[in-house]
Amino acid sequence: MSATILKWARNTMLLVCALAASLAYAQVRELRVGVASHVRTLDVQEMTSNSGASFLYQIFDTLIERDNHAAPLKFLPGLATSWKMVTPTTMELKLRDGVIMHDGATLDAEDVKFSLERVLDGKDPRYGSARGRFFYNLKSVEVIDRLTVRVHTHRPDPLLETILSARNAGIASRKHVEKIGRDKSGLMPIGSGPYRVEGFKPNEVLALTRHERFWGERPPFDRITFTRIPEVAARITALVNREVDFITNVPPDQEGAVTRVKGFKLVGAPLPVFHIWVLNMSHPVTANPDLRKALNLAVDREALVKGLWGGRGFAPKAHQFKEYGEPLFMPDLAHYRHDPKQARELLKKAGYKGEQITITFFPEYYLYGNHAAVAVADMWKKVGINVKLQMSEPVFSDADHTKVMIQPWSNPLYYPDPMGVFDTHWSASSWVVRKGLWKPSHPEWAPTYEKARFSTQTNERRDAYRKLLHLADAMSGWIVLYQPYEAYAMNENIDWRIPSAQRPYKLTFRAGQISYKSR
Amino acid sequence: MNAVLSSATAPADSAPEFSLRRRLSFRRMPASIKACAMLAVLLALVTVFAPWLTPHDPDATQILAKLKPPAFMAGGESTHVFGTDQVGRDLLSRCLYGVRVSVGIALLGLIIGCLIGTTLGVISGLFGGMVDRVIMMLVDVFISVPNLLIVLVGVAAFGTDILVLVFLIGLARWETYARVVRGQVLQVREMPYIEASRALGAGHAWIATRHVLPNIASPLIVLLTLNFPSILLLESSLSFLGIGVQPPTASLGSMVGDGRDHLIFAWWVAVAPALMIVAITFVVQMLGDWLRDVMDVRIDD
Amino acid sequence: MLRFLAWRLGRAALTVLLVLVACFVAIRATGSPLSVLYPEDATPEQAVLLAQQWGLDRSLPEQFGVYIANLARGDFGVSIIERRPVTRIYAEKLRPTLQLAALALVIGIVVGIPLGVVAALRRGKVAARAAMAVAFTGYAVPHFIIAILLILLFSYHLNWLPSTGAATPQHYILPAVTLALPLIAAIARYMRSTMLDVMNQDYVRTARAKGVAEPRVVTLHVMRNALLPLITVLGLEVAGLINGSLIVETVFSWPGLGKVLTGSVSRRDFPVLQFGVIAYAMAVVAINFLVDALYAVADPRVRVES
Repeated sequence: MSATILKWARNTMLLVCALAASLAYAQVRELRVGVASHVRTLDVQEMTSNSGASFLYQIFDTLIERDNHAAPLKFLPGLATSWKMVTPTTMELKLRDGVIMHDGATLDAEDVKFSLERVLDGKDPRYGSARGRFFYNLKSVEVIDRLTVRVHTHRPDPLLETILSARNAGIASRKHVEKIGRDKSGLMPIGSGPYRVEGFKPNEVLALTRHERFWGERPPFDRITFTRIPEVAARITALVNREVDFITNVPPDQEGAVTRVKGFKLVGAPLPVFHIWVLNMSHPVTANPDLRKALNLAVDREALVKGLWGGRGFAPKAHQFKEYGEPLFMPDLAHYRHDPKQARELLKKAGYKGEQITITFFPEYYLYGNHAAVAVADMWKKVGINVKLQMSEPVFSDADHTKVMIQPWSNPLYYPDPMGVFDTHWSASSWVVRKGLWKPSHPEWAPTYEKARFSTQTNERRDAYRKLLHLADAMSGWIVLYQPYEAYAMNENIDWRIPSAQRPYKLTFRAGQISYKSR
Repeated sequence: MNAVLSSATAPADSAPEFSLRRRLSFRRMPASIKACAMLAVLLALVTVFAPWLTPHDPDATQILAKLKPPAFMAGGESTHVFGTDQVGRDLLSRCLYGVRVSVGIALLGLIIGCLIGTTLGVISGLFGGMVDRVIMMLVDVFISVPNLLIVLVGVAAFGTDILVLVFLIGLARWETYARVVRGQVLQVREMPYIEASRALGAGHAWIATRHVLPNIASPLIVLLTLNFPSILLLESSLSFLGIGVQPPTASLGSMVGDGRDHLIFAWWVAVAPALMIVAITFVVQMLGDWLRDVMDVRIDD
Repeated sequence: MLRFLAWRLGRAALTVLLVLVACFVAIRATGSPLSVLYPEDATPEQAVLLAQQWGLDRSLPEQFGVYIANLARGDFGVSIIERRPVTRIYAEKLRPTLQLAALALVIGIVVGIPLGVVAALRRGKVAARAAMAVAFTGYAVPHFIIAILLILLFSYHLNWLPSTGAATPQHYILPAVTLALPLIAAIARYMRSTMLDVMNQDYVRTARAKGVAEPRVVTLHVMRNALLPLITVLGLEVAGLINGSLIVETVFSWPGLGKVLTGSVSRRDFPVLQFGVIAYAMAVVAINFLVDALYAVADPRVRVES
């Protein structure tokens, strides 16, 4: 009796599901993406987070675009069809004619000036992030005519094209923002990209539909949804259960849950991101350089990569990424090693007397961040360090850092150049410097930094960068743990590659970047 | 939770003491209750003697030996009977310590809540008037905010220290005692012998300790037993959400929370502590329900 | 009667006010929303600008005064994080939560009452034991364990039911069942003990002695009298559902109030949390008030006592 009911219930349910599925199939070509984290606003100049970059890339265009897979960088025309330096500090760009935005208006030089300049005056706190990270060297944007703009910089900038192709240099509609205000336009933005916003619930779901009058090649989907599914098991379940077609952030030790089911595959690579612990140089305990060095030497990176990442991550030997391409990437650099014996000696030299070292960590914020904390705590205990673990909300610049000894952080490569990871994190204007966590006191630090950032000679920049890394290693102000491995799981009919020339975690769903064979 | 309390609020009947004692004796328990009682004793022993029972240091990681299945499964090792977790810690050891931590916190929270609630309930019932109104108002306020939310805000304000947690968890259910005790006091107060001793000049404190407390003892015991599972569940829910006991300390709830990411491929990491939670709450509930049935004479008549 | 209701109403309003003050102070003691808004780049100037923009630079009593004044004008504030009116956020999220709670409640009643009745009538028999075993287990297993096991079984392995979001009717099944299981247990246990209580009352014995047929005794006398107090219990359980929904919404990525509330605490989104707490407190107070009022109507003794 009960078996019959069960069977009946199952069949009915299957029927309903099948019907729903076939209906959905007949209607639209849709890509449903399950993402680990979402965003609270779609203001292209405000949202500098990883998921922000993925969402904004579908909605907004930049003046200059990048070849997604070229190393070193190769630039492509975007909203600008051509550009040239007219003085060492001025770039003139010719805009593409007839770019129709999502509201039907035509994009012109005023939109460009408006979008970029609102970041530069420093009056609105929401744009502080983009300014500090990318645009601090921009001075102004000048409209020459409807389709010509000039970008002025404070000083000659070897990285100007790179910066103008960052997603936060996307162009939004001036009229739209002025009409409904910055708050509302962040929820319902107007850009010129291949998809336009159909619906947006902050931190929950973003639905995009095809922009029929897009200037470029017709995008592959009628509709894309990005749904936030924070938990790994839930994301995998949603994929296997065919609630979504594509998910982000599948940890290596969970891959089996995907691969054991037919019809799905994984695409992954170690990303150009360092997971880092900043050792607070202003805290009385961690102010001791020998202690910091000891902490560094006691970390077994190979074990972390093998144990946590199943050998898939990468244990770096220096603070650099091969994505720069040579000559800026220097394969011979070897700063990081595991040496518990020397760590013990340095502890003795530092006069360490069992003061408690607290590892702060943010659960879920950095994948495996909590496991790394537990594992490293154990490694430190073995060399005689008294360790305590302290969970915390992810807090960065706003926290009271007088009590923090170890601040978890990540150093993503925002653009494939040493400065894409160095200048974006360790510059003199960075919060870690402002808060005194990182205090580069060496007299040669500042002049060397200057050269590494602004020299127009590539070799000079490389040598300066090399010296910077040596100085940094001597101060041991941070511990590079590893490069995480990022895997995406998807329906096996999807063809997609990780865009190595874009910032890490970026999803590229424009024409030619992804295909989804008919189901 | 509150559902089961109302019959316990009936005044302790004047049933002769010896018969109650006889009904509480082990020999007269139904078989299922006997089993529960024995399990409860076992759990209590585990709680107390966890450090001597565990085969491994519960916090020692072995990341190269992570997610090893339990001994009875293929690939399992006899050194890790329950297998290992996501950073290679021994699950059996963590479960035993987890029981200790979770039960410990729940018990302390229980006692704190009971002390606050009973005190306020007695005061409220004995003094009446304005005092009573203010206290009952407090009860109303606490009922009007979800327990989880109180703890959430509390943890955000005072940090995740274990003592803070214990206090917040205690705070989360004090009003149940206050209500029940007040009701009892109101009934006891009207008893002729109380009126008599009042007439003889007995003060509030005298009446409270000599007459009221003995009378509310049995409903309180029942209430404590019945509240224990929900307190334990509150602690595990908090730890599950990551705002309870902090790693690396093992609490049953946080173990389930950490293990849930591995549920599909390494189910034992979440299932082992989950089974522990269910076992404890089940056993204590059965006992609580039985106690209530035994002590409440009207039902058993 | 009217005086009684007015007294209760006044007390209810005062309760809500007290809850609001407590929450207002407590949440501000927990930190600032700045770190969430600009996690890695907030400058001191940004902090000052933001504090001014949201009035957080004023003294606490001043802030409270402004807040109350705005409340009086029906303005509940704007979310600091999402920058849209909190009423809109709640309007969006209230429905999924209420639907889920209502569904769970219905399942709880429809399954829980018969289970409890069987357990009481067949006391000591196998059926009763089985019913109570189910009830006890349901009560002993926390929401989060039920939830993850259901997802594992029905979504991952069987592919029968969806596990995230609230897009279709099927999406409601797993979270509703998760919420309902402990409720079923609570109702069954309550029904059983009340039924047993009532069955020993004099009027039931009298009815039996008079020779009233057993089914009639059960339905007319026992059930009717056992169901009345169940209303009170249900009131409390409805209030308790929010605790469960905080967990269930996390596990099922449910777009409801629970996540809004927990999120507002961790993000220090003061206006959102305040509104949530007021709304919740008012709902609970309203339920209590209604229950009291119903009792006062049904039972004159209550009125006299007050």
